[in-house]
Amino acid sequence: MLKKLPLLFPVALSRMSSAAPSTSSPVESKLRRRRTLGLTLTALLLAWSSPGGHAAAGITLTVSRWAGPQADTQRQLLDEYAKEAGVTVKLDAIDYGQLKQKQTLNMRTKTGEYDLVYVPEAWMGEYSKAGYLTSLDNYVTNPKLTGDDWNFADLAKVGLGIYTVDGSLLALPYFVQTPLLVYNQDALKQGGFEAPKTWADLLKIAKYFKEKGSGIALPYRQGSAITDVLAVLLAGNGASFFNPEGKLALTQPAVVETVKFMQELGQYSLNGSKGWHWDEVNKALQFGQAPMGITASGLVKALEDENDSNVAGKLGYAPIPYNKQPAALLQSWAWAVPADSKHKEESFKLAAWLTSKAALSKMSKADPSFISFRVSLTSDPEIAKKAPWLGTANQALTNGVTLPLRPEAPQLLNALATGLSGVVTNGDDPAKMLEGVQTSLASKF
Amino acid sequence: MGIMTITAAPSSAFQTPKVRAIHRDQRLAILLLLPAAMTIFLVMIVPLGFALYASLFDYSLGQENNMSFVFLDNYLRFFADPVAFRSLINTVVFTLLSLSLGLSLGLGIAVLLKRINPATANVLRAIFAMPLLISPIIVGLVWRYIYDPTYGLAYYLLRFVGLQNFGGLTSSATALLCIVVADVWHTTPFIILVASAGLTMIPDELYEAARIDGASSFHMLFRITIPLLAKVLTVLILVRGTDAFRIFDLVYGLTGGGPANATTSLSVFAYKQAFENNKMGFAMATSVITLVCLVVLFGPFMRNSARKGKEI
Amino acid sequence: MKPLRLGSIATWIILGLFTLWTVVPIALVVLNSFKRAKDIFTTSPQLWFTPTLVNYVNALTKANFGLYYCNSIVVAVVSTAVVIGIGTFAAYALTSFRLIAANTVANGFFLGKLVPVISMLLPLFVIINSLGLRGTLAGPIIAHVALNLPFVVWLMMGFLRDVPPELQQAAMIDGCTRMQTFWKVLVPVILPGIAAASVLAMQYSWNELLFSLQLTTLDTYTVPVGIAGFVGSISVDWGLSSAAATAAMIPPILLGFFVQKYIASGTIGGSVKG
Repeated sequence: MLKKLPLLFPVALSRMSSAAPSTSSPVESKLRRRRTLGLTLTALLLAWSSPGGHAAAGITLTVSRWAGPQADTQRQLLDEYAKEAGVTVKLDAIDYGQLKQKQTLNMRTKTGEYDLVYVPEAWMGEYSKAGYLTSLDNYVTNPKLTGDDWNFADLAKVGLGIYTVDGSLLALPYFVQTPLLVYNQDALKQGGFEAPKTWADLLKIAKYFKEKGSGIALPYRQGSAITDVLAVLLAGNGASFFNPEGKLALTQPAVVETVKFMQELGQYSLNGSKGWHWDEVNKALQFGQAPMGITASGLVKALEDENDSNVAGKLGYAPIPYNKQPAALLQSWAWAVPADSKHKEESFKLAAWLTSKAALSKMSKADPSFISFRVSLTSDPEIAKKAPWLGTANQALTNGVTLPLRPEAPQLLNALATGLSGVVTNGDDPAKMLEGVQTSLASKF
Repeated sequence: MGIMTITAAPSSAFQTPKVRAIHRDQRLAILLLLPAAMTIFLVMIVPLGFALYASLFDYSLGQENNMSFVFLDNYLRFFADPVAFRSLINTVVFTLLSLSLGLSLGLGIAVLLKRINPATANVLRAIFAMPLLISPIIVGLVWRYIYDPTYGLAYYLLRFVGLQNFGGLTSSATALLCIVVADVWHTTPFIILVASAGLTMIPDELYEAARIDGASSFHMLFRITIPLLAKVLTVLILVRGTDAFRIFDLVYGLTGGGPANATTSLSVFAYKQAFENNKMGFAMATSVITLVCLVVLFGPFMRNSARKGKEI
Repeated sequence: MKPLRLGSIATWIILGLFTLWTVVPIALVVLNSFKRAKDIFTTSPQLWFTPTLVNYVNALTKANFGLYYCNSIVVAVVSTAVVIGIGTFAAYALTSFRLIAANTVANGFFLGKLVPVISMLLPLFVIINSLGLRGTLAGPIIAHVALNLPFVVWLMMGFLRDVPPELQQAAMIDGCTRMQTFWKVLVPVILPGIAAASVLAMQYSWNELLFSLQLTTLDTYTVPVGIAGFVGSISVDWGLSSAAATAAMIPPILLGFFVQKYIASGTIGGSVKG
C-alpha cells in the first residue's frame, strides 16, 4: 500500500494546476501531461525496483567481509564450495571502513541479510554484548555439519580463547596477522649487519641507514598501526598497559622506556614515515625505497610478487626486535553466524569448511600472506616455500599477545595513538604524555 | 485568470473573487512545497530530534536497549575534553581559510571567465568543473599521493626550490594548511559554477552604461558585480561554509586527524567517538554542538536570505 | 566589453595557471590508471612508462563494475530529476507567494542541511527496511534527494529572488496562471541556475558513498562502493582504484561539458525593458 503513495502525488499536482479555468494553450497541456507522466514513471520505477520475493531455488548464503586481494582469493574458494554443497554463496566484500556499520545495522535491525560475518577480535566485545551472534558450541561437536575429519583440536587454543565469550564459542578463528620486521638482505650485508634481534641492534642499523640517506620505514601515522607497534614492543619489554591487578599503569618505567625507544627509532625513520600507515610502509619496502621496515604480515605477499615487486627474493623476515623477551602481536579475524541469519546450520557448515585443513591450505597457497589458526599448517613445507615469513608469523600463535579487549580499550588506544603521534612528530616528552593519558583514563579501568 | 485583473474589489461580506484567488494561490503554494518539506522532515528533522534525545544518554550503536541516561554529562565532557576543544579550533580555522580562499579564487575566476570570449570560456569552465566531479575518496587519495614526502609531486617540486624539509602533512604546524589547499582544489569548481550562473543573470547593459560613464574594471567589480551577486554570494557562503565546517572525508583520508590531533575536525572527532570508541551518545552530543556552532556562525546569513516573500 | 591589452594578458596567464592547477591532480589519477604499481611509486614523477590496461581489465572482472555503472546512472538521474523538480517548486512557493510560514520553512530547510549524517543513517535504514525497500535503488535515491534538497532549494531561492518581480507581474497581467508564469517566464530565466544546480546535485549523487553502501545490497551497489572496495584501509590498489576513478569521472564530466552552455546562457539581459 505504501508503495502506491508516490503515485498519488502526480495525480494531485495535475489536478491542482488544472483547477484554474484554463486559457492554456496546447503547449501548456502538453507540458503538464509530460510532467505528470514523468512523475508517474518515477514513482513506478521506485516501486518496481524493490526486490520481488523471488523464490530462490535452493539456499543462498551471504557472506560479509572486507574487500581486497584476500577477498578475491576467497571468492574462488567460495565458488568451489557452492558447487560442492549445492548452495549459492554470495560474497559481499565492501570497503573496510564501512564494514562494521553495515554489519551492525543489519544485525541490529535483524534483517537476516548476512549468514556469515567476518569479525576481528576488537569487535567481539560489542557484538557479544549486543547479542548479535549465535553460539557455536552445539555446532562444533556435530559431525554432520563439520565433516568427519575436521579436527577441532587442531585449531590453536589462543584463537579459540579470543572468540569464546562467557564460556560460549561465538566465532571460528580464521586469519592471523602480526607485525613483522622486513629487511633487504643485501643492504644489511653491505653494512656488515645481521638481522637485528634486540632494540640496540635495531637502533644501530636504523641509524646507519638514516645517515646514508634512507632510514627505517615505520607506520607512525596517528592511527591503529602505531599503537600496534607500541603493543608488540611493550610485550617485548616484558610489560603491558595494565599492572598485574588489572589497573591501567602507563607510568611504569618499562612503558616509558618503550615509548622513548619508539621516539628514538622515529628519528631514524624514512622520510614520510610520520604519515604512513601499514600500506605505505609496505609500498616503500616493495619498491625498494626502504632497506628496512616494520610491516603487517597480511600485506607481505606483495613483496614477493615477481611482477609487482622490485625486491622479490631479496628480503628477509624477522620478528620485531625485543628488549627483554621475544614477543609478537596477535591480530585475528574469525567467522561468526549472526543471530538473525535464516540458515544458521548451513552457514556453520560453510564456516567449518572454510576452517578445514584442506580449505585453509588452499587459501595459504593462493595467498601466502594468509596465515591460519591451524597448528598443523604452521610447519607445512609447501606453504613455507611460498611464505618465507611463515616461521616468524607463527611466533604470534605461540607467544603472541593481543591488544586489550576490554570495552573501554578503544578509548585507550585512540588516546595513545594521539599521544604517540605527538611524541614522534613534535618531540613531546614520553613520560609526560603517558602521565596525561593515565590521568584522563585511569578511572575507566 | 490573474489576480491583477481585479482592481476594484467589491466590499461585501462573502468571499470576493480576490480572496478566493488568494486561497487558491496559497493551496498551490503549499502543494508545491509539500514534497520537499515532507522529505526533509522525515529524513532529516526527525533524526535530528532523535540525535538530541540520544545525546542525553550513554550507549553504543546497536545497543539502544542499554542506554543509560546521563543528562548533560556528554556535553560537559565535550567542554572538558582538550581534544574536543582542539577539534573545534581546527574546524573554525579550516572553515575560515577554506571559505575565504575558495571564494576569492572562485569569484575571481568566474569574473575573468566572463571577460574572454564565450566559446573558450565554456570549455574552460567545463575543465574547471572537473575536480568537483571526482569522488571524495579519490580526491583524498590523490592528494595524499601528491603530499607524500617520498613519492609526491609536491615534494618533487619543492626539492627544486630547496624547500624539501617542508612539514607537509606530517607536521602539526602545516598539516591543516595542506588540507585546506586540497579542499580549495576540490570545491572551487562549485563556487565558479554558481558564481558564473549568477553573473550571467546580470544584464550586460549595466556594464555598458558603466563603461560609457568611464568606470574602471575594479570599479565595476565592486560597484556592480558584487552587490548584484549579493544573494548568490550569501547562498555560496552558506553552502560552502557549512560544508567546510563539516569536513570529514578529506581529513580522515589525508591524515586521520593527526599528527597529534592537529587536523582533527569536529566531524572526525564525532566519527571516532561513534565508531571507534563506541560512544554514540557522546558523538551525538558533538554533532548537536556542531549544529549549534553552525547556526550561530551562519544564522545571520540565513536571515538575510529568508526575508518574507514579496507579494507578486 | 573590450578589455585593456595588459589586463587581457594577465587574464590569460591567471586562467592558464589555474587550468594547470586544476588539471594536474586529475592527470595524475588518469596516468596512474595506466601504470603498473612499480611505475606509480617512484621518487620522481614518471612521464615515460610502459602503459598497461591490466587495471581496467581487473576493474571490470574483480568487481561487477558494469552493474555498478548502471545503478549509479539510475540513482543519479532519478534523484537529480526529483530533487530539482520538488526543490524548484518549493523555492517558487517560498519566494513568490506570500506564505505565512515561509521564513520558518526556509529556515527548516537550512536546518536540514546541518543535521549530522551519522544520525541520519540508522533512522533512514530502519524506515527503508520497514518499507521493504532495502536492497533496492529507492534507498539511495531517497537519501540523495534529501541530502541535496536544502542546497537546491536555497540555490533556487537565491536565483528566483534575483529575478525582477516586474517579470512575473507582467506575465500575470497578460493572463498567465501561477504555474504558467513559472514555466513560461521563470524557468527560462533561471535556466542557468537550474543547470548549475543539476550538475551539482548529480555529481553529489554520483559520488556519494555512505548511503549508497549501507542502504543497498550486492545487486544495487553503485560506482563509489566499487571504488571504495579497491581503496582498503589495509592496502590500497592504486592502479585499480585510479582506473575505477577514471571510468567513474567520465559521465559527470560529459554532463558538465554539455550543461555549460546553459549555465552561460543568460536570457535576462534585454528582457526587462527600460
